[in-house]
Amino acid sequence: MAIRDIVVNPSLLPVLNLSAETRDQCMQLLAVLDPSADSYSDSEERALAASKEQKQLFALLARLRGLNRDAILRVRETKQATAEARQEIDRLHLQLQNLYYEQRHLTGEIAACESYDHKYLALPLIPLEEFLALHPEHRESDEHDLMIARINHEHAEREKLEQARQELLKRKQALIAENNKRKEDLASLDQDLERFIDVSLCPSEFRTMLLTPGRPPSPFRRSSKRSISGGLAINSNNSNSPPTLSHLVLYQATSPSSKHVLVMIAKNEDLSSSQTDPHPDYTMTVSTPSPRPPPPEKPEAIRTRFKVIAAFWAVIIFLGFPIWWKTTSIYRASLPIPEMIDWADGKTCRPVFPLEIRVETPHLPDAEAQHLLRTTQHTLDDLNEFSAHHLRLKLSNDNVDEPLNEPADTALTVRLLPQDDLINPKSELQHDTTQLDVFYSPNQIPPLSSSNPPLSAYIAGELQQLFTEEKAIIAQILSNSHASSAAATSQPSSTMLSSVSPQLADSIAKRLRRSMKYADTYHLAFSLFTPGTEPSSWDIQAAVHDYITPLLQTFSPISNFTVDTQVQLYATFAPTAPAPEYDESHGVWTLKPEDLSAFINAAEWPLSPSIGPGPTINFILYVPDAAQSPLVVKDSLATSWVVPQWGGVVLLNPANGTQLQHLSGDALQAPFLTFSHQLLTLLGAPSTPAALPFRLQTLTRIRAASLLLSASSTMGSLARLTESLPSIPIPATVAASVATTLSHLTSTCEHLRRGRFQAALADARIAETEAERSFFEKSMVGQMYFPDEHKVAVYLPLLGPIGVPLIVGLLKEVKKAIALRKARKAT
Amino acid sequence: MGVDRRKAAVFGGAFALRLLLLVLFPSLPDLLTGRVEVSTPVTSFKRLQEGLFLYTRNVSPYDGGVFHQAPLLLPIFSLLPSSPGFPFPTVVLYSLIDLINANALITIAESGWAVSGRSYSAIRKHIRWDGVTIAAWFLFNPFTIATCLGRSTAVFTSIGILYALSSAVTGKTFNSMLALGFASYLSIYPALLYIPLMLLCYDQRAQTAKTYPSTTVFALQHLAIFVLSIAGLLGISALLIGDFRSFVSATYGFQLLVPDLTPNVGLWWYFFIEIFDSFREFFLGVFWLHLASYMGGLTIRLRRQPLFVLSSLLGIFAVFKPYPSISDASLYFALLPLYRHLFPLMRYTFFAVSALLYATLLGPAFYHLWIYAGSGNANFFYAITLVWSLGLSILLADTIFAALRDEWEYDNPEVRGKDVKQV
Repeated sequence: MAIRDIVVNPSLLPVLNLSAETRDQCMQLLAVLDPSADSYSDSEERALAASKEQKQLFALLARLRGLNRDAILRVRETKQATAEARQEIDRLHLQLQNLYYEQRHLTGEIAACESYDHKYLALPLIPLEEFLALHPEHRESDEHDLMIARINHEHAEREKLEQARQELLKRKQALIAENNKRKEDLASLDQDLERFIDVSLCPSEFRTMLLTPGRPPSPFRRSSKRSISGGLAINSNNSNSPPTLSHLVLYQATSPSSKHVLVMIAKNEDLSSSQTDPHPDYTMTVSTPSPRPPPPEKPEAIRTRFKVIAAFWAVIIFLGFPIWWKTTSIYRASLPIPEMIDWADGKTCRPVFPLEIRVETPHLPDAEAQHLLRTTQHTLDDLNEFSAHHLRLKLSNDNVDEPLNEPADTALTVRLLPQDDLINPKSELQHDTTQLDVFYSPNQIPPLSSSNPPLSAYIAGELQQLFTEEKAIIAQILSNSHASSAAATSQPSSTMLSSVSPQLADSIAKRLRRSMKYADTYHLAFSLFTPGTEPSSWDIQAAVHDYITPLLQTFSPISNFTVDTQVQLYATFAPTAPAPEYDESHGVWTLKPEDLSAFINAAEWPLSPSIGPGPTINFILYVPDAAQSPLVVKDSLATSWVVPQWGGVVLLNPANGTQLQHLSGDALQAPFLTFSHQLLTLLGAPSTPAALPFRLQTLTRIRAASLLLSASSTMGSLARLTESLPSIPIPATVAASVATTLSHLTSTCEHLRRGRFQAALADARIAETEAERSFFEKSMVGQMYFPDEHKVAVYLPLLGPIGVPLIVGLLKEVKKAIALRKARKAT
Repeated sequence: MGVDRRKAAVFGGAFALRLLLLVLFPSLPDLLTGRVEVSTPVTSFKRLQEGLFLYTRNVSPYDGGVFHQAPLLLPIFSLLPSSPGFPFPTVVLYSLIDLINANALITIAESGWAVSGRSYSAIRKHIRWDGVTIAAWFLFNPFTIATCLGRSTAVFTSIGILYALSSAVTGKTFNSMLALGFASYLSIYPALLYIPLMLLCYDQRAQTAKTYPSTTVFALQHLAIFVLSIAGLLGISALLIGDFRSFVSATYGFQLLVPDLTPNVGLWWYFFIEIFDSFREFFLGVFWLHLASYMGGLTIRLRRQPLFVLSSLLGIFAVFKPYPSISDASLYFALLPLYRHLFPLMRYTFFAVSALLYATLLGPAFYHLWIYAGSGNANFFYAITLVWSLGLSILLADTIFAALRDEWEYDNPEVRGKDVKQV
């Protein structure tokens, strides 16, 4: 029963009931199993009943466990709810404590405020009655306003008093200064006086002098305002205005006769002019001297300083800045940049070479000649595949259709000559003119009807062959240059050169590499070298005149030449060069072809690379020693070779091993013919055909083309250079050179198009010279690598130390001027 | 008469000393002529001889590119027997020039313009030396003797300047301007002295005549004399040489553009060796302006002491001109004893004198190390020239400070003898 009293929670009641029931069930089971209570007949029946009771008991136990779990969970929930509730209560409690604290603090503050002791309460103000008497308008206002008014009144009063005090102080200072100055004056006067007494005056004179006021003696230069009286002079107020300040200074002057004279100097001075105080009743006593500030600067001193600074700045502004501007500004003449780039890219001019070929047909009627011409031209056009270089046939007698004042140069003259007993036509190139003689049998004259007669084909073939090499060279030049690759993209170089055999192309490239770079002037140096003493002379003048000069004259439109000669004896091989070897089979001394480059002893043989402006072409005639003669190149047995871009060498082996003392003109003939040939090669003339005038013309065209391209690319380089380096100067001469170059390039192009190659070359030479001059202008490169940051390093070390004091001085003056203006505005 | 005897003794002694040095050390003049401290490209006696040689052979003396001095020196020297064979006449001429200079110094000293002017008088004016002492300082100054024996033609400029000063203080303003014109004709820089010299003449005129001529008229008058004297000398030179343009570019162009960077005691040569070529013209302008800019400031600040302005400017020229030599320093040292009354106010005398002595003794040694021994380089000698310039600058700044101090005390008598601080 007790437990029923304790547990009252309704949720627990079923647990109690169920546990009671379970207990009953247990009791029943026990009863069933009790052997003493023999309610069952046999044990089997009992076992059956027991198991039945047991099952019921298990069911009850299971229910009881479930209820137990529920009860435990419920307890947990209850505990949690309790904890939360307690937290809330704690929080509220803390809040309450804070509020209590705040309340106490505020109460304390209020108390402090209430008990604050203000200064105004202690101010020694004038009494209320007096104030009200002074300011009756405050009689009605409340106590607070009244107090404010009283304090303000007090403030104003005090400020007034302070100002008055400052003024008085100032006056005191001025008077002290004045006093000291006077004292100094008197001291110096004392010195002067002493010396004066020492030097010149006897006591009696001194006395009379001293007793004569109004006539100051000469040493006292600045004593005009002072009166000096002897003896005991008392300040007697006898000056016009009342004396405001008097000094009594006692001096002891020593006379040479060691007589002591007591001099009292009274100084009366009207100070009213120097005083700022209008009231003369101001007096003060001289206090003990204190360290004084330096005397204020006089206005004229300030003015002088201003003038000095202005003088320096005037020099800087009126002379310094113009000089700076003049000497450091970079002059950049304007260049026609786009035009120059266009030239370099080949956009402006595409070089063409229309060669005019005149056909002379003295033995043909006009119509037939015309027909032949037309068909030949047709065949030629078919054969040609390089459009820049083409041949134009023209009859020699139809000059009338040339409207131009300048006719085109004739590249070649073809003369058709009838000759009997010829089966096939035959041609012959004249060696001394540009004339091709074509012989034909009269029966080969094509009838007017035939479209492709054999004679035309023959002439065309001949012409084509004559110009093959030139065409190849020009094509090579054009394709080599950057410009033509841009211009001729439409026709790749392979197709241009398809008619040219690879061997020919090779040899052309080789010759181009071998030949000298074009120059306006070449210096030819003919040197005779011999390892011994002989030969020591040669007929060089005659040889040059006979073999070289005619050649040079024909080349004169292309370049200028100078000729130098020298004879060098004892010219030995370089020690490193391999010595010639004796070849038994031929009975000659041989040089290996690969050693030829070491043949010239560049270190010892005096072969000047630069005789003047322009390259030097060296021609060396080497006469070997009799012991090493004959000397030839191995395998080929040649006695001459060309050194690419440098010159030529000829070995002259004296006949029969005899040594020559003098090389006569005859002996020189062979070597000089070789030299002239080498010269042609070195100058870049084509090797075919044999006719010199023809080769010269070809060379003219080649040179014109290469110069045109080189000058154009120089222009492009210059344009790119000036654009990429904005800080380099461009002198006016460069601009002039560029203008000249461009105009000559234009006329070169024009001449080329019209087939006037001589004129084109002349213009191209000028263009090239000017282009080189403009590109290599010396004054342009000076500042090329001078970045702007370096300028600081240039300017600062010197100008910094000079500039800082000047700038500081200027700033000080400006500041002072501004302050002065402000002060003036304020007053 | 006693003073005269002293003067005679000093002059005679100085003259005898120069001749004695020549007799005892016959190679001394040639040695000194070759020294860079004595001879600059514009004053070298060797170059003068080269010009003389060409001149006596009727070739333009400027053709060789060696001679850069005024052409009027040529006829003077062509009158003398040739110097290598007969050194005496030349040395006698130079010694006489020194004596004339000393005489001019005595005139300047005795006029008292160094201590008192029209509107100013130094406070310590009783501390001064008399003219003969000052002349002795000048005549027995080793720098002067070296210049004299080195036969530098800078002495002709010196004589022009000193005679201009002595004429100005004695009231011969016309002569003064002529002399300054002569000096400017020989070497350009004395033309910068025109304004202070004109002020000195003006003050002298105003003090003695007690009349105040109009400043503008006075200045213009004297400018005209000055310019006309230069123009006259140039005209005579043009008659002598013939090719006016080449002579002007060889002499004045050379002095202005400083193409010859032979080492000397100045500051220009090293700087212009090192400077980038493109900035050369600009810094030429800067250096010349720097030299010229002192004239205005000093003249304004020390308006009451024009003679002191002139002396200080000569000192500044000795430091900052393009081809300075010890002859310029000796001219400054000649004028310095006139300001004996400033010496008590100077503060760094010891330091300045030590620096100058140091440079004087070590300069030749370092030059030898650089040029002959090869164990030094250009920086050695340049460092010494820096010390030399520093010493001169300190001396200059100190004297100017002393003069300003003196003037200040004159204006503010109550601060006499008090310590001051320079700010």
